[in-house]
Amino acid sequence: MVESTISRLQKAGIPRDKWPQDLHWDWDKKAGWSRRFLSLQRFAITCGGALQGLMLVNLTKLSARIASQWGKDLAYIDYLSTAPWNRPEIAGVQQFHGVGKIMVRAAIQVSLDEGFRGRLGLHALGQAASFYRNVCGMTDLGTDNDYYNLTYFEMTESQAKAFCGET
Amino acid sequence: MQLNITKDWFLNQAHLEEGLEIGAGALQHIGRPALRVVPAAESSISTISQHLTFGRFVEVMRRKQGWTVSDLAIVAEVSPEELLVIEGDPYHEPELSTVFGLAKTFNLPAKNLVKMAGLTQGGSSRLREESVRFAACSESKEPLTEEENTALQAFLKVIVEESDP
Repeated sequence: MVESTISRLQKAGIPRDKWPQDLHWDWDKKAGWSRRFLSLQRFAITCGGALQGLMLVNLTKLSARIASQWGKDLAYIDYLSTAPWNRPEIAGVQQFHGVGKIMVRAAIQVSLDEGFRGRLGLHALGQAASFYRNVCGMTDLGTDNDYYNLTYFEMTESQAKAFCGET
Repeated sequence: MQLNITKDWFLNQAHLEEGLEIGAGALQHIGRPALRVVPAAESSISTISQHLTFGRFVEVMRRKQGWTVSDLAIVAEVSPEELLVIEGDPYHEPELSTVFGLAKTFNLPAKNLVKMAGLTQGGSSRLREESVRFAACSESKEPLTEEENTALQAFLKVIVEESDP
């Protein structure tokens, strides 16, 4: 599917910087590969007999950077993605919506269960920044030059409550 | 872990991400510890400083009136939650409507308060310098110290007097 998608994108004249940034990831091997990391909490969404989304949550990777919660523990989303066969830019259609929202909601629950009050952190792929900023209501802390120039986002306790519809 | 998501919540939320990328994380670093903790991008430090100053200013003005956050929220007709974030989170960009509500409540020129909050570019160097001086002089204690009160009065004078060049 990846090869055919690249071919389609090239034929359509779409510049490389507009291609899905995780197009090259080997989705089929992700679940098995993540088993090496026992410290990570792994989440998967299946529907219609197929995997639709994956998320890995790390509780020890880093602490909060926003001044109001500086240094406090948070749940860090090490990886989150929806399956290529559920993405319109790859498969041509998007059969299921809401994979990202339900995964972020699950990560908030992990944070709450750990006593981290819903605090989250993650590095978004550039094309996903809008989702975390505008749809999830997270705080954009700018480009992280120490982490592949990805955009770092953090969710505060109050933002987590808003996300969950508690405010 | 028990995840209580109602069907209504999910149906209301799912369509919001239609057509959006959601990818997060760099595979090369998964499972590896210790990212170097760094502040936000350098380019945004000025904005963060403005938010910090604005938050300090709102806090002091509130305390000057002897108001709680809830009191100010009621008078200014703004969200108490946003007031809390304005006072405590320099990364938070205040809502324009909130700044206008606060300007009306404090009887100050809204245009200058908007600049002070970092919502528009520009503003005189005097306003910027006095903003920083004010923030640096005020400390979070109750009630206002004489020094804070003096700094507040001087800063209020600048806000009222300062006009566009």
